[in-house]
Amino acid sequence: MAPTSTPPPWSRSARAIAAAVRDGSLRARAVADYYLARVERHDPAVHAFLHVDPAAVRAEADAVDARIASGDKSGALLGVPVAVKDNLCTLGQPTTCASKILAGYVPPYDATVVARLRAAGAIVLGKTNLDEFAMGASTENSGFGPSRNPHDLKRVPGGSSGGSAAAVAAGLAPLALGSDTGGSVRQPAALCGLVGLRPTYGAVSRYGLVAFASSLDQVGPLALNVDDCTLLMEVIGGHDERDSTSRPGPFRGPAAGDALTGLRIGIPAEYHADGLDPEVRAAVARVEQLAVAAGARLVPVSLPLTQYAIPTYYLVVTSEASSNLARLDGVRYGPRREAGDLNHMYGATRGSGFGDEVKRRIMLGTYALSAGYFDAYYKKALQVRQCIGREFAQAFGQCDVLLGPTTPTPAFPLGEKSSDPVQMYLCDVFTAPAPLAGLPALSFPCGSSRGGLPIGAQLQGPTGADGRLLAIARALEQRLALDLSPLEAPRGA
Amino acid sequence: MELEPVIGLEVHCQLATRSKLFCRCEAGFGGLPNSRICPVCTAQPGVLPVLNAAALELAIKAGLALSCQVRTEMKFDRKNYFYPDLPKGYQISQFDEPLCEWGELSFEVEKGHSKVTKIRRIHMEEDAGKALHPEGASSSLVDLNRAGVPLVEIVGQPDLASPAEASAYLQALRRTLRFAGISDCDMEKGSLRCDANVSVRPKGQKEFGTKVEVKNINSFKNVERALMFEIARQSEMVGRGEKVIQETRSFRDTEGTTVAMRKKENADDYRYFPDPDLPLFDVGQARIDSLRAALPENWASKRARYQADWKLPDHDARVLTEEPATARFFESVVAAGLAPKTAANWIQGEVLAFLGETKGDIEQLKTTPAQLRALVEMEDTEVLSHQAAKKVLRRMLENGEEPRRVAEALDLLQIRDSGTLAATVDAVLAQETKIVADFRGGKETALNALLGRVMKATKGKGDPNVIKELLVAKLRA
Amino acid sequence: MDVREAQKIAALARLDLAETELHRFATQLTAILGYFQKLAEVKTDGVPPASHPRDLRGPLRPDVAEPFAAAPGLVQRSAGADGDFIRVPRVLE
Repeated sequence: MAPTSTPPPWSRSARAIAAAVRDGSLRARAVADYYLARVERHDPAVHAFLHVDPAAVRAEADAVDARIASGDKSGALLGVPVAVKDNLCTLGQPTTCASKILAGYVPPYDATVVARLRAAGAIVLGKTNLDEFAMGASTENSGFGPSRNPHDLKRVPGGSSGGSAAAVAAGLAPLALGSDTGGSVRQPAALCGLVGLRPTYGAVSRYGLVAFASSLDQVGPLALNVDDCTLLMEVIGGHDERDSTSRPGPFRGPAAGDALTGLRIGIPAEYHADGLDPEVRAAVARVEQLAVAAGARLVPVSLPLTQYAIPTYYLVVTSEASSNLARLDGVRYGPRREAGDLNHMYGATRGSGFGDEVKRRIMLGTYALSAGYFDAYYKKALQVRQCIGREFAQAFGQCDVLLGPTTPTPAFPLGEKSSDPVQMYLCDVFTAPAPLAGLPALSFPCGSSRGGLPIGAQLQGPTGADGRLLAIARALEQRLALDLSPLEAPRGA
Repeated sequence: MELEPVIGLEVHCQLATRSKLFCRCEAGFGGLPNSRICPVCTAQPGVLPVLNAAALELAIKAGLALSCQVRTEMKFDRKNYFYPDLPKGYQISQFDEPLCEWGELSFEVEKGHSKVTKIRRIHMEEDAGKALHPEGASSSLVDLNRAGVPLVEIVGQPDLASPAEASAYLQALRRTLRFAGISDCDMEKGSLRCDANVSVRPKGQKEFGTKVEVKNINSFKNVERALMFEIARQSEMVGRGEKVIQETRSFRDTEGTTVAMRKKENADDYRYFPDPDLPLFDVGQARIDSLRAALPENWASKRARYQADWKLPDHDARVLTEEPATARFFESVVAAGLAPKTAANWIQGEVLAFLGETKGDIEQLKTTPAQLRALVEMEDTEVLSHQAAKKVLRRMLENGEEPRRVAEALDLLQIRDSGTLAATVDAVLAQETKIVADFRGGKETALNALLGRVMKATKGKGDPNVIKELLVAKLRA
Repeated sequence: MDVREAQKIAALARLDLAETELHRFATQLTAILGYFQKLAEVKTDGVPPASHPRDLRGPLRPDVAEPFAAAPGLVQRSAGADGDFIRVPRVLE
C-alpha cells in the first residue's frame, strides 16, 4: 500500500492507533503496512533504521489481528509499531549497537522493555540507528552511516538515539524507544521536535539494554506528544527482577488535574549562560510565561556545579564503558580477527571492530581507572558527582521542577562538530547533570527557529517525579498549541 | 645462615548452592562442556547480574564459622582483565571491602600442639570458566560451565612456618567449612583450590623475603610437596647468593616441581572499581545474628564434647569428627539410645570399614540408628553373640534389613534352651572321653576345650554361658 | 599523555591501534584530560564518592536453578564454535 498524500488521522497519535485497532475499526496489519511503506519510501534519505524485516513485522501484525479476532483485546499498545534503538536486545533480530564489532549479532533473548512491548500488543517495527554504543550526540558515530534530521536532512537528528527520533519525526513510526545516558533521548527529541523522557534511574529495566555506562543508562520513550510518551512509559516502566538497579513497584504515571497552579518552577541561572542560542532562549522564555499565566511561580535557583557536569560525566561514562565493552572480545560472539596469538586476536578484533569515538572513550576510561590515575580522575569524578547530587537536592528544596533549554542550539549540520570531541561533548551541557544525580528529565517541543528547526525545553525533577514531569509537560503542551503531527515527508533533500 | 619459610594460603572455596552466583544456571559438576550456561554467564550484551541469596548466606556463615567480623553493608567490585575463560572481561569480586574480615582458625600442628592463625579476609566472587590447552594444539578450548559459580576467597595471615603447618591449617579450614555446611571442599572437583604465598628469610629476621605465589596445587598431599619443593628452591637460591624473583609459579604434579608461569601482560593493573550493575546490599545485623544462631556446632567443639561429656577416648573423638556426616550419624545413634562408647565402637569398626570397602557415603547408609540400637540390644540380651552381631550388621549395611530378620535368615540366633543344648553336651561328653578324663584329673582348662567342642557342634550358636553351666553340672554330677 | 603512554593504555584495553591513531589519540586525550582538570577546582575533601545510588539496595534472588533451554545456541554464536567448545588461539600459561 502506497502512503496516501493525506496521512490518516490516527498517524498523529499512538493512542489513537491502539484504540482503533482495539475497537476493530483499524487492522494492525493495515497500520504495519502503512509504516512499512513510509519506511521504504523515506528511510533511504533519513537512514533512521539499521534493520527492518517487513515479513516479520507483517507476521507480528497478523498475529495481533488474530488475537483480537479471538476476543483477546488486552494490551495498551495493540497493533502500534514501535521503532527500537539498536542497543536494545531483540530475540531473533539483529542487535548491533551500530558497531561493526557486533555485525550480524542476534541476541538469544528479548530485553525486558522489548518483552513488555510485545506483551502489550506492540510490534517491533525495526531497529534504529545510533551513535556506536550510544557514544555521541549526533548519530554521526554510527558504524553504518549517519542518520539525518527529517526537519532538515543536512542536519543531524541529535544522538545517540538519533535514529529513533528521526523515525518518529519523519512519521516512519508512531513511537520509539531510545536510551539516555547523558541526554541521548532528550537531545534528539529536542532536535527532532519530539517528547522524550529520561526516567528516574531504575524506573525502567536495563536488562537487555547493551550497557554503555551502567550507572547512568536508562531506556526512555520518544513520542510525538506527551500523551503517547506517557502511554509508552507506562508499558515499559516498573520493577524488573532481572535488573538489580530496578526500583520496586509499578511505574506511576501522571496524576489527573491541574499541574501548573502553584507549581514552583526553578530557573537555573547557569542554564542561560553565554553560548545559548537566542532563539532557544526566546522559546524557553515563552514556556516560562505560559506557565506563569497558568498559575505557576518562577523561582530563580543557582546550580554552580553545572559547569563541572561535563568532565564529571565523561570520566564516569568512559570508565564504566571501558569495562562494559571488554566483553566484545571476539571470543563468544561477533566477528573475530584471527591474528596469531590470543592477545593479537583480541587487539585486532577490537582495534578493527570499534569506531574512532568508541576507541577514544575506551582509552580514556582505561586510563582513568588505571593504577596511579584512579584517585585523580575516577574517584574525583565520583566525589564531584556526589556534590552535584547534593546541589540538585538543595535546589529541589526551593522548587518542584527545573525548567530550561534541552540543548544550547537547534540541530547543527552534519560534520560541524565531528572533528572536535570536546565540542561534541559540550552538546550535553544541559542534559548531563540530571543523570549524574539519577533524576528524571523530559524534553518537549516548545517552538522552532526561523529556519523551521525544532526547539526543545527541558523539565527536570527530583527522584520519582517522572509522572509529575509528564503532567506538567502535558499542561504546557496544551498551552503551547504547537502542531505535533509527524512530517509528511523529510525536508531539505 | 639458617633460613625459615613464611607461608600464607589463599583458598578458593565453592559455595554449596544450587544455582550460580548471579544467574539461574545450575552450579553443578561434570556434564557436557558449555551445557550449564545462559545469556548472563556467557556475558551476552545487555545482561545483568542478580545476587543469589543462598550464596550470600553461605559466605556469611563462612565468616561466622571462622570468627570473622561480617559487614552489615556490602558492595561488589569489578576486577578487569582479559582472558578467554572470563566472559565479561571482568570478574565480579570484592576489593577493598570484603564481606568478612579478621577471623581466626585454630589448628593442630602435631598432637598436643595447636596454633591459631588469623584469617585476614573472606570475600565473595564468581568463578571463571575453564580454558583447556590440549597438548601440542595451537588453540585452547573454552568451557564456561564453571563461569559464575559462587566462591569465597579465604585469605590467611602469612604466618605458617612449615609445609606441615600449611597442610594442617588447610585440613582444619576444610573441616571447618564442611562442618558449617558451606562447601563440600572437594579438591578433585575443584570446589576447594589453594594458592600459596611462599618466601624464605634468615631465622630471626623481621622482614619478609621476596614472595612467590604457587598456583595449581591440586590435592591435599600436594600442598606439602609443592611447598617443600618451593622452599628448597628458594633456599638454594639464597644459599648461592642469588635473589628470589617475585613471580607466580605453577605446581607440576608429575615432577613435583614448580615452574614460572608466563607473565600475563599488564596483569597487575586490574582497574578495580565498584560494579555499577549491583547496588549496595543490606547484609543486616539481623541476618548475621540469625545465621550465627543457626550455625552448626563445629568439629572442635564436638571433639571436646565427646571427650568431656561422653568420655570417649581422644582417638575415637577424632575419628568421629573427621567428617560432618560421621559425626551426625554418631550423634543420631547416641540419640537413639546407644551408649556413646558402644556407638563409637560399632561406627568406627564395622560401619566405617564397610564404607571404606564399598567406597560408600555415610549419608547414604541403609541402616538407621534405630536398627543399630536394636542390633546392640540383641547382643546385650544375648540373643546374638558378638561375632554373630558383626555378621548381622554387615548384612544390614548391605541391604538395610532389620537385625532380627537378618539374624533369622542367617540362622545366627543363639541357642539358649538348656534342653536343646543338653543333648549336644551329652553327645560331646560321650565322644571326648580323654578331655573329660583330663578335667576330672584336675586340668581346669579342659573345660574350655569341651566348651569349644560344644560351640562347634552348635555351629557357634549355642549360648556359651548356658553350655558352661551344663558342662559343669554334668561333669561334677 | 604521550604516545608511549597511549600505547600502554591501548595494550591494557586490547586495542591494536595504527601509529597515526596512537598519535591522534595521544593528542586528543591530552586535550580532553586537560579540560577535565577543571574538576580540581571543586572542593571535595571528605566527600564520599557517589559509587552507588543512595536510595537503592540490591535485591536477593532465591537459589533456584533454572537451565537456559537454548544453551547450545550460545556456543554456536562464537566464531570459534567447535563442537561443545569455544576455540580460541592458544593460551600460554
